[in-house]
Amino acid sequence: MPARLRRSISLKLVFAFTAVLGALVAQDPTSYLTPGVMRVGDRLACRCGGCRNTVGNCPMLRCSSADPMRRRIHQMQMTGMSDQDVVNNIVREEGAVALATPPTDNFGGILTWVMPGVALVIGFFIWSAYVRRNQKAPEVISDADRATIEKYRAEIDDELDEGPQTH
Amino acid sequence: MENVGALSVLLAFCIAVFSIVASVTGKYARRPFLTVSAERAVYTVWALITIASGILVTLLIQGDFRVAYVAAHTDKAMPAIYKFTAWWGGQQGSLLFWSWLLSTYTAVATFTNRRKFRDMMPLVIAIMMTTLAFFIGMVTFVASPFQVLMAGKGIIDVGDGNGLSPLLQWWTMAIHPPFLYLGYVGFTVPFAFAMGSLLTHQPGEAWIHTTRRWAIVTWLFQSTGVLLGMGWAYTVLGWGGYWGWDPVENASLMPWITATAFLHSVMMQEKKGMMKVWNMVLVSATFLLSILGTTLTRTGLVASVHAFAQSPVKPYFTTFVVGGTVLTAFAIIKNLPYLKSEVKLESVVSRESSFLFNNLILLASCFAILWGTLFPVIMEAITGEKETIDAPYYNRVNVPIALFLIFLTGVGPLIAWRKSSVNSLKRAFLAPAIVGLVVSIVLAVVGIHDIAPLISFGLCAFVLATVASEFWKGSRAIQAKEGRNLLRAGFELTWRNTRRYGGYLVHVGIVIMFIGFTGSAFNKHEMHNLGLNESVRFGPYDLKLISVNQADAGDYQFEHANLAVFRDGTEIGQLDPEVRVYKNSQEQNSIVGIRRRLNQDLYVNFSGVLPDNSKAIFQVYLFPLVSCIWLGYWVLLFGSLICLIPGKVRLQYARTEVVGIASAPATVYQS
Repeated sequence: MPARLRRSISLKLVFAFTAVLGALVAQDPTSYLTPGVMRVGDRLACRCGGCRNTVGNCPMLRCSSADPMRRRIHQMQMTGMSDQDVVNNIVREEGAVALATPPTDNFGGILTWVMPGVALVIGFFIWSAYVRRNQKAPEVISDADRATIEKYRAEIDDELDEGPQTH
Repeated sequence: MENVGALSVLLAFCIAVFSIVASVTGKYARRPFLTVSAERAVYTVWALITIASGILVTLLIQGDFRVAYVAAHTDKAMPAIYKFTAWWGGQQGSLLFWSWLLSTYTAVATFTNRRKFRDMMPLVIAIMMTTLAFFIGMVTFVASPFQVLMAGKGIIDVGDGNGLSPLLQWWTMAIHPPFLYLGYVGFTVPFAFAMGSLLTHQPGEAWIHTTRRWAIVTWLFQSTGVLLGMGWAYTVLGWGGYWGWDPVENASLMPWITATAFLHSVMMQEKKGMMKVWNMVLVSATFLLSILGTTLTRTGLVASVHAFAQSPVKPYFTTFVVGGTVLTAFAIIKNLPYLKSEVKLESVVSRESSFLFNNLILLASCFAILWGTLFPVIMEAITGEKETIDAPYYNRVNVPIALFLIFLTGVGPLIAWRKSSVNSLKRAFLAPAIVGLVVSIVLAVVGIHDIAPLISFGLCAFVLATVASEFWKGSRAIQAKEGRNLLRAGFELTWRNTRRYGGYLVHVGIVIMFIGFTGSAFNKHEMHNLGLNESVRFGPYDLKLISVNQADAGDYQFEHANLAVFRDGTEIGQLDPEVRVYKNSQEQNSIVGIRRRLNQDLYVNFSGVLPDNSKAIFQVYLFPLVSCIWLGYWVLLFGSLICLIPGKVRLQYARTEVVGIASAPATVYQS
């Protein structure tokens, strides 16, 4: 075999081995599971449809949604982008659906966050209205009667503290 | 045989419809023979659905691959137990299973009340049979499990089936759906009695006395179903989580929350004749949320890993939920005058008021979950924009609500019925509050600085101290009076009032579970690539990879890793995580290795080997206090069972009754 051809074949083998090795390393999902990737990943939704995790805590190493996203985050971080820039970049390309929690800069997102609190406040007003409407009117009691009532109430409290009660 | 099955469900549907018509006509046209006939139709429907179910199970176990459902959900290699559980493993079979459970509940409720509530029972039967007829109708006309595979005009046998998803071939998953369904379906009975009493204008306590045990048993089934699902997720899914706020998980939690609220507020109606509208709303909401949960699971309305695929049942279920909600709301509003409270609140600082407040918080939590589950669907329908609501949203919204609920769990028993004086509140609150505070301070001193866990642990201690003081005071009183030892006095105390003290034990169970939930704030997670005989330090443990093997187990191939666990240089055990690939479906399934301890679980998921086979990849987790969740369930179960035991002392509730009206101001006595 001519030396030139031999050199060419061995060079090709080296290139092929490097390419395969490179591909293998690139396929190793643990290589880009850095704390930084996980930190940013926690703000983004895993959308594989198989879980409700974030990209950061999705346990499937080769998840069809989380794995490519982690790789993207890693690549963007390697170019020096900040966490917020990475998130903004992804949201710009894929929309708010990429976020794990609703955004707070649009009507729908704000409504999502606010409504449980609003419901709680409305519920509290209903509760207080119910209590007010269904509360007995205070009876007019003389001072002497009040003292007697307090005395007996204290006795009852003491007895209740000591003995079993019925529920 | 499949033809007999299909014929059985068709006949069951016809007889169920007959039962509805006969019940209503019999009641309003005063034809007793029709109401009796409707009752007997209930048993006939049960018999027919049982025959159909038996046939489906036989087809599944025999492996009759001419039947589409059998071919879709079983294969020859599956163990017999999973062939049986395939009954509820798919859409059509699970609808038949639901129908069978509901027909069983209906038959039992009809039989046990056959000599009671003559006026109300026809409507109760009509309501339960309407729900049942809907489900049998789905099985008969829309999603039949008895369809055969056809090629042209000929029936074909595909030889082997697709098998059940490997994720479902797990013992907890074998029994998780039946328990959940027993919960979902069971709520139909209290709802039917509530509506029956409302429509016959008998809004008293009869329906509550009759359905209280049903409600508790159903609630217990639902609790068990939810916990089994959590246990399955923790053991099988490989990420160590037990709750992912998936829409279908949420669907199982929502009726549980409203049922919990109902079990509390129902006491108000029993004891005080109050909150009748509220109870009617809660029992209806529980039933409708159960149907909504079924709708979410079966129609693909929201994307979920648990949901069955898109199917033709969607419009029918949606119509049933919406129609049911409208009709129920109409019935309640129309009959509001019959739901007036018999007495008024004496004070805001009373147990009555605190029950109502506790209900409010429970419903707020339920609403937050419902909102998070349905809002993305609503938003997409209106604006066309997609939005994702994942676990971080639910955790942020629900954690404060849950903390407040824990606080109320402790406060409730400390406040007296009718009215609490300031002095009695001071006395009751002082010791438990000090205990809660001390626990928080001690934990802060030993190094816990996150505010939410500190508050949570403090509140848990507060509630436990409250319950302990209730048992202590009661037992001491019996001990002093009857000279028994403290333990026997405690038993006697519980037996005298099983509902109250059983209820306290349920609270203890819930608090122990919350200790487990709080532990998740301290979870640790790392990923390591290990070669043979390589070790890695994780928390207090050293993990050493001993071996990795591959083998064939018939219906699946697996890679098995063996890890030795060391602590302080001493081997304390071994873990054997495994990853399986099922041949038929090519689905992958992880069998995690868990070292369970009360203080923390060491959890190892074997994720496979690196592409060059040089190292194995492990995801290792430390889950502090997670065992408390499972322990809390057993306490909850024990407490619930105690609640179901009749108390030794028949309780006479102090009800306010108007015994006479004088010309002067009304005279009110306490009986």
